[in-house]
Amino acid sequence: MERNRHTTDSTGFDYMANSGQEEKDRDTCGMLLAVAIIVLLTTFQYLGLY
Amino acid sequence: MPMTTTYDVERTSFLSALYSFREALPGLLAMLFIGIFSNNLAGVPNPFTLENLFHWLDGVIGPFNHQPFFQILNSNFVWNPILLGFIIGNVFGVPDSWKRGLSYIHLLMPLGIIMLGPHFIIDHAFKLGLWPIVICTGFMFLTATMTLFISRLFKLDDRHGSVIAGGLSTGDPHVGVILMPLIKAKGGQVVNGSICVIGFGLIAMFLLPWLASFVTLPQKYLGLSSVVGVGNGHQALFAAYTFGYEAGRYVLWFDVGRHVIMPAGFLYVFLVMFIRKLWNPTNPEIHATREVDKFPIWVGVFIFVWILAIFHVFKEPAHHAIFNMVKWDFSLAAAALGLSLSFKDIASAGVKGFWVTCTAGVLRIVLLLAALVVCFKLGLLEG
Repeated sequence: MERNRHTTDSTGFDYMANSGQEEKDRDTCGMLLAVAIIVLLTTFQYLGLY
Repeated sequence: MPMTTTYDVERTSFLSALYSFREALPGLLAMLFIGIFSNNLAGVPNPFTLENLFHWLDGVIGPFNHQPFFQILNSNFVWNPILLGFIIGNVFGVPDSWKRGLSYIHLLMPLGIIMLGPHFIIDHAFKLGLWPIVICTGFMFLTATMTLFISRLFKLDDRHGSVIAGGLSTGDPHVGVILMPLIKAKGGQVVNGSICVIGFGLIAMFLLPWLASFVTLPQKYLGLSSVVGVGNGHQALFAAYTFGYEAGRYVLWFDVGRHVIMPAGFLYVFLVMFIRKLWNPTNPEIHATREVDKFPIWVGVFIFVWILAIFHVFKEPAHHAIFNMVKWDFSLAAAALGLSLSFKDIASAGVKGFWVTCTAGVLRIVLLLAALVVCFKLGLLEG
């Protein structure tokens, strides 16, 4: 199959493909970062920092 | 060796999904520069953005029915980086060294969607009164259901149909991007679906005033009909200002009723398609949510955050500060999405989606006008 030059590099890594353990790990990173940002910004507000 | 297998072998913890800093940096920089040259982002005093260029062009072109041209086309912090990334990717190509960093799109999607939670505060809509809320909510679910059903009749790919159902029912074409990781839609289907919703919106903003000329409704509810029947921000305003100044002003009043329930719209589309897939585990025609094994935890986190927002845990200005982070997040993610697409990816989704959107959209307008007339005659809507 011809590789999609927009998304796939010469090693076969397709950046738009998202499945398996890699997907779960990406979701975990995103989730933790989201919670951290929300908690941080909300805490700053309650502490009157902005 | 398949990439997932390589990843599993080399994985040490969940942080392995971030790859090494050296591998990820070029792609992250590409997203950053596309993001900051697309939108006016918090903390970046860059005046040379696509957003500012469109504002300037709006001034040159002049308003259409009081609405800026590029706002009618729904230019926003999602569209601009998709467009810029798309142009760069198709003119210059996407270097291999960017691709590890660009894969952060899959991290940015749940991140951005969760951070959207505090944006939708339900009781902001309570000022509208019971029946306008019932109409906004009822027609959102009805439109989503009708669109999914019509896309099935038209034998449209269910991922494409889901994206259109999400965009059309919530009155926001960019919802397709939110549905992308939930439905597992292809990038080309998402952009094609959003174009269908915006394209039909351009028709609807002329069609609604024409169809409404056959019924008698006060300006106030003609404004409501524009919000629910046309949606898409300034397209609804365009339609309403055709009725008159008062109807146009009432769009701004009623739009909150459409806006705060948007998450329910895209969650509904996801759940319908997810349950359908669970009931038909081997049906080869069902693609939507096919690779989603179980209910994603991050969607649960989004719902939890949305509930916290309903109880006003995120007061002003925290909710605005968080939304500025959403703009940052989606600017970066949309840049990666734009870079991934070729003209062929978008065109290969075909025009069938547009006919589905038109059928569902016209049906919605007719049913909406009928419902508004009945409610008004029964005295459920104040004059």
